[in-house]
Amino acid sequence: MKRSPKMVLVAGAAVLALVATGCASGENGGQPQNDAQGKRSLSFMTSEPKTIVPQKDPGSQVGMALCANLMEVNVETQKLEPLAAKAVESEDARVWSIELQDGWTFHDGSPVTAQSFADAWNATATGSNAWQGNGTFVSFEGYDELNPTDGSEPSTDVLSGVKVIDETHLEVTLKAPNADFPKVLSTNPTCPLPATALEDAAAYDEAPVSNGPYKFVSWDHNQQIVLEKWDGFKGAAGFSGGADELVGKVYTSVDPAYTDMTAGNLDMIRNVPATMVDKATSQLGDKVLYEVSIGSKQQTLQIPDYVDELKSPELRKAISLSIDRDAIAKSLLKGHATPSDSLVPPALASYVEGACSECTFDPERAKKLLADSGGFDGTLIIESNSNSDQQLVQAVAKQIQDNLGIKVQQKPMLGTELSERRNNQKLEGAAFGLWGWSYMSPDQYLSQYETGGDGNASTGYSNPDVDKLLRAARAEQDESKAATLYRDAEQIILKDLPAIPLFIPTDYGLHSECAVMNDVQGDLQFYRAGYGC
Amino acid sequence: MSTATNTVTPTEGAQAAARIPGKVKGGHHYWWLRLRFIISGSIVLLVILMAALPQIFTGFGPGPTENCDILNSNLPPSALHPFGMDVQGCDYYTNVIYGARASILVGIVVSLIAFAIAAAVGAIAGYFGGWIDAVISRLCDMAFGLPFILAAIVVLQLFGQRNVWTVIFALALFSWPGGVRFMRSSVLEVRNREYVQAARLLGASNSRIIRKHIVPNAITPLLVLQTLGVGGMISAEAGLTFIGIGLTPPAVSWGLQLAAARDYIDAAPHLLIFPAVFLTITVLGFVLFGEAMRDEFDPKGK
Amino acid sequence: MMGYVLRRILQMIPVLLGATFIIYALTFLMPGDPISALTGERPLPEATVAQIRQAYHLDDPFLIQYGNYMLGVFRGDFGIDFFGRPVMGLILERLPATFALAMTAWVLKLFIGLIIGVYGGLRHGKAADHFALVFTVLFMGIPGFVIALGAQTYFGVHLGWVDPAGVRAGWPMAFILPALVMAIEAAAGLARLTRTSLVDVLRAEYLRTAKAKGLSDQRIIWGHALRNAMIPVVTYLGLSLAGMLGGAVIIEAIFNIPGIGGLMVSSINNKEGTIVVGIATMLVLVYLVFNLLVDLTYGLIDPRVRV
Repeated sequence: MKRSPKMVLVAGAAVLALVATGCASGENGGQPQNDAQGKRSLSFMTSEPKTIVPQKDPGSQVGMALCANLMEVNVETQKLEPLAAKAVESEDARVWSIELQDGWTFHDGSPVTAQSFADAWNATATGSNAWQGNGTFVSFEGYDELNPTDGSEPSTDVLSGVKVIDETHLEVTLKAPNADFPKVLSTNPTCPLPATALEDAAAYDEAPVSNGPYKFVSWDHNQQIVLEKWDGFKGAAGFSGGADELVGKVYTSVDPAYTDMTAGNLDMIRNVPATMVDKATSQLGDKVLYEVSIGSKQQTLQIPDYVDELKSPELRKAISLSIDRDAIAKSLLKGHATPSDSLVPPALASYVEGACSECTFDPERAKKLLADSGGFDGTLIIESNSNSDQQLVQAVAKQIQDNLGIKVQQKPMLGTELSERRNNQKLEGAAFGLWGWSYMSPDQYLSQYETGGDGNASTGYSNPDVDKLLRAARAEQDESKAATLYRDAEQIILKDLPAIPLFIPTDYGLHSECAVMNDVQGDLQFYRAGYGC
Repeated sequence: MSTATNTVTPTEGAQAAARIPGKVKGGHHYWWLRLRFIISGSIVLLVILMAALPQIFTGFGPGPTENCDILNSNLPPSALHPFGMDVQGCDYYTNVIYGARASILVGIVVSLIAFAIAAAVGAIAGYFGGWIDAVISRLCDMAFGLPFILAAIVVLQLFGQRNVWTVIFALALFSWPGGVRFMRSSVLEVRNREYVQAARLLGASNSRIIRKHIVPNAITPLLVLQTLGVGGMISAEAGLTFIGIGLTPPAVSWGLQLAAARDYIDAAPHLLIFPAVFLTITVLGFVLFGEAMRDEFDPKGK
Repeated sequence: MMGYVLRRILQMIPVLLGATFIIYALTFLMPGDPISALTGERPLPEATVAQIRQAYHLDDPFLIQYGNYMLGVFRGDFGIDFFGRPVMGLILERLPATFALAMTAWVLKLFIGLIIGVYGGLRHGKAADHFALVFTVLFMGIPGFVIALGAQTYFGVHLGWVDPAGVRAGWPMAFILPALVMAIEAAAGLARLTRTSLVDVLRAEYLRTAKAKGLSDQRIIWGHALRNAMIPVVTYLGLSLAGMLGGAVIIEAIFNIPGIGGLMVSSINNKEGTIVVGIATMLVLVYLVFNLLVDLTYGLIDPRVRV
């Protein structure tokens, strides 16, 4: 799993999500993309990346293909397995010993050593470098010394929690036990860096050298990025893909990419908007659609704890009960989302069906609860990103207004502004939120409700009982025991309903005949695609 | 609606209006002018009426966001709902009718503001000349040189909640310089006429000369220019809203409807067609009306 | 002559300073935190945000930030974005596509607009003239994206004449269609201007004189009328090329042209102030230079205008 730990809001990528394409014929869609030499080449849609260095943009599809992590999900088994590591073990889930594979090298032939990882982690964890992967290392011991909160110069340039034992052995000490640590090691911020990367950072930005199944060939800015299968990759087939060559074609948004696919010039698109799904199947046929079976994202209505008028749990429950999720999913979302009835997606171990008993549609009970809570005279403000899901937010707002009889006001704004208001706790009302996991664990969702946890700034929810249960769950190496603890925590959180679950959107990919798309635990990754021609 | 190119029309209009053929009376030509005036004038009147009193057109029924059912999302036109239903399951006919208000308001108010500023500033620049003229000209250059769409986006982003008035503000802020240049050049022409010199000799104050002699004699071309500009402003609003930086959802406007329709061009083409037709006819109406006005009140014909 | 050009160039300085100041101030005032924009929904740890803000001097007072920025600009340094890439490089990367699109569109517009305009002007008052007017204005009224999408689908996908969304096809294949759409939309203004200007000149007294002298109609139209009618047209053409270089946001997005327009919108959305100001500076400069060139061109067309 190498998904970005920075949940990519749709708007972030499709900055200007402009314009659907007109009616197109499907006659030449999905033609083989063999080039002159008969190379098995697949192309995929990308926006012009700001960087393709994995640590700087952990969500980068190019970065994923370039890097082999210590741990990785095998496409064939869909299980997390050691890749660049031989073993990752711990007694207490706090001190972890990592043993690397012998004789692995980077694309340029230089050896991958324990130091390659330690150097990369130290650089990424240094806040002043401003690499996006930084947040991954918050749980490492020594992170705070590297990142003084007052913005002063750090007294050190290494993480004290990372020790290089010898060429192939590392020891990592965390601030607190975390049984998910092997999963953390499957995310891209933990990729290794060759010594050359730190010597000449500017050159590395333009032509990165890593240790993954594909190696970098060329980057023609604003046009395309070419990757080539690396002969020296020693991982199993399930960690690689079927194409000899991967070409990331740069598009300004998904709409021209789709048009190009209908013209037979593009093989793969991911994060397909729901509105495009129906168009694609009617124009290009059902076989172009790839449906990701595991829903890894969730849409919620976050209710900040610091907004006093929305403090009452009864009011929050009344709001939740007034939303007809089924109707919206069926009509507006065309069935490309399922109503959510829990604070976590159904694919996670701790999920219990109907955990949120107020996540059904019951306007009668909603009105009664509203009356019990003492009514609501004000206006419910719903803040949202103006570049994504506007129609959905509008539909939800209308449902609440019509079914509960309270005033609802939408407040769409730029993503940057919304993030600032969230992080600095300046929201004036509820906020429409979209969350996804970096790796498959209930912790990735429930940490939003832990004091100071990942994503906690949105609601500011804080409950000592919840914090205690989550700490215990994280320390528990037995997955089923951990799931029980997570479940208990969720039950407590649901009593206060700091976020109203709305939908689990279905993820789709579009592909040509030759591209056989694959996802790993709910994350569609281009480089994992097989070649089917 | 490519705001980048179309909205920078003031200069063009200015030049055009400055070189107007004399009115041709009689025969075929005159008959055509009349007809054009009547047709475009009726369109303009009708759209203004629609903006002022949309209830007349919707039979005093429910408003644009009332009586909606999400389960009716995107239904095609039917006998009961001649324009079909929109994404939210609201009657689309009502929505398109109510959408006129934002467009007309923006078009007319922005043009009025631009007219007022241009008349005042242009008269001052042209009458006094010298360093006042130089300062004003440089200011105009600044506003001209900034790419319109960049400036408009940046200004609009300043407002958390955007409504018709913020859009008007942003458009007005950068739409006056064309008029100023235009006004300035017609003032330059009037300034040295005999009656102005006579007034000056008689000891009239500058402000009196400007108000009584300069402005009334130099303003007609500007008026015509700004009338021509209404259509441009209407499509500028729709363009800005379409790319997501103009009006925002609770508002009802053609730009917003077009923006929503772009995702459903295949599934629900009626979402695109109706506001697009209304917008096209409105812009066409205002531009033709402006042209007709120009031919009627040709300043050089007097 | 040299003195005039020099004076004009000196006049550009306050305009350039003023325009960049306005944009810089507006970008500074825009709500939203650029650092938050870096990471989307999962915020960076506070410590990191503090360090990055310091690295980019985001906590300095506005005037100091602006001053530092302008000092850099005069040294030829337009600053870096939040990924450490030089802004000048980002703009230069995008410039060729924008330039190719704008020039192609401008030339096409020139042909379409002048042909319709001259035709209408020569036959003014006749049915063909009115038809040309309504036709050009109609294209102004139809929302641009509708024309663009229609053209893309029909010529790009159905007929396959051009790459519908491929800048990779290079010039002219990738640019001809978007340029044509831009040209058709913008031709209305040019056509109307040319027509009225021509009609005006045709009525002028010196042409009557020429006619009285017994010059042929052909000679009058091509030798005298058109030349004089072109003066306002040249102004318009020059300034409109400057405008087109500012990028066409919608056209670029539909046809996947990686130009200035897209960079502009995305950097405004991400509050990348240095990029926004960099683009603004460059575009204002382009406008001023074109403005000067246009004025100099007058002298060539119209012997009466001597600068």
